[in-house]
Amino acid sequence: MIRYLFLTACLLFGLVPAYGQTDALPPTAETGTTALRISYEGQSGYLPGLTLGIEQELRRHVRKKVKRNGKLKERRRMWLGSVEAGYWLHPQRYTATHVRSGIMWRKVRTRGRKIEVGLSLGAIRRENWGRTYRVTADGDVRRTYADHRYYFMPNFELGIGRDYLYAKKPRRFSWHVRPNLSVYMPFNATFVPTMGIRWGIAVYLPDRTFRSFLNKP
Amino acid sequence: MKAFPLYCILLLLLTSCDQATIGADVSETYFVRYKGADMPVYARGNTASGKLILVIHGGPGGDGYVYSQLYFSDQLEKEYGMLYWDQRGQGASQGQYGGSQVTIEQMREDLRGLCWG
Repeated sequence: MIRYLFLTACLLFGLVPAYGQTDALPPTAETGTTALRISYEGQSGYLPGLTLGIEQELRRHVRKKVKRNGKLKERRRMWLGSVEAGYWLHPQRYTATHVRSGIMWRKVRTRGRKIEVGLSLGAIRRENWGRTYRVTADGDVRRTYADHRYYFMPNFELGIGRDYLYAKKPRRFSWHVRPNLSVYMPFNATFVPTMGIRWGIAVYLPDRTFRSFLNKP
Repeated sequence: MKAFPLYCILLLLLTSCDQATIGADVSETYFVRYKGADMPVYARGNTASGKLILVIHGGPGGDGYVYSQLYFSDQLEKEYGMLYWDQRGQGASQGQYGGSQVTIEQMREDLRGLCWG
């Protein structure tokens, strides 16, 4: 368990120096390097939950091409780092809090339509809903509240959405729908995969928010 | 005298906790943590009758909770206290233990642990 937590911590803190790398990005008017994400997350497809996160653009490749009809065609491919924290609950069984951090590849087309693929590592704390009786092998019974367990949680997600930053009338806003597959491990005797879907919005922060913060003497 | 409201609140808390499990129409979930597994038990129905029925689901891969949703459960819950139990590694049970602990003997031991709990 310790090594999983260590891995997660490495990823979480590994993103901090990554913010410094954004200085290498060309400063363009359309740059929206940092965004706040708010998503509804229905783990297992139906459990209600909320996820808050922050994503940081690490690298961008823009390809522009003039089509035969004279219209400009744009393709943006980017790598992003993200950190997220969320909560969801099962009305009868448990509540869950999680943190995760990862990388995401995103492709944005001319009008802002986007597809994305992400991979993240995280940890989840699942808390029993109600009281728990801890029973030992010699028959001793102790009543506890909010008993919980931690699991390592790698996560893979695919997403679609629209990024209005690149629309005809640019706005610092986007929406996304992301089905995802998480694996809890070690869970029971082995591991358990679980499907989820999250949809939500991302709001771009003013440019250079983090850069100015990190470059302070 | 100053502590009187505090005693009242404490008494209310204690009695409310106990009365939740014993009644004519109980609907409560609790967990038994035993040998690395947290196994949920859904207590439903008339536990005040003094007669409890423990539902042991099939499997492996079963779920105790679904039995509480079946048509006969309402009838039984009027007469008896029903305990729907998710066994180790099944349903909504969770935990961390080795594969060597997934045996019939361990399930029997879990049942004993459940009775203690």
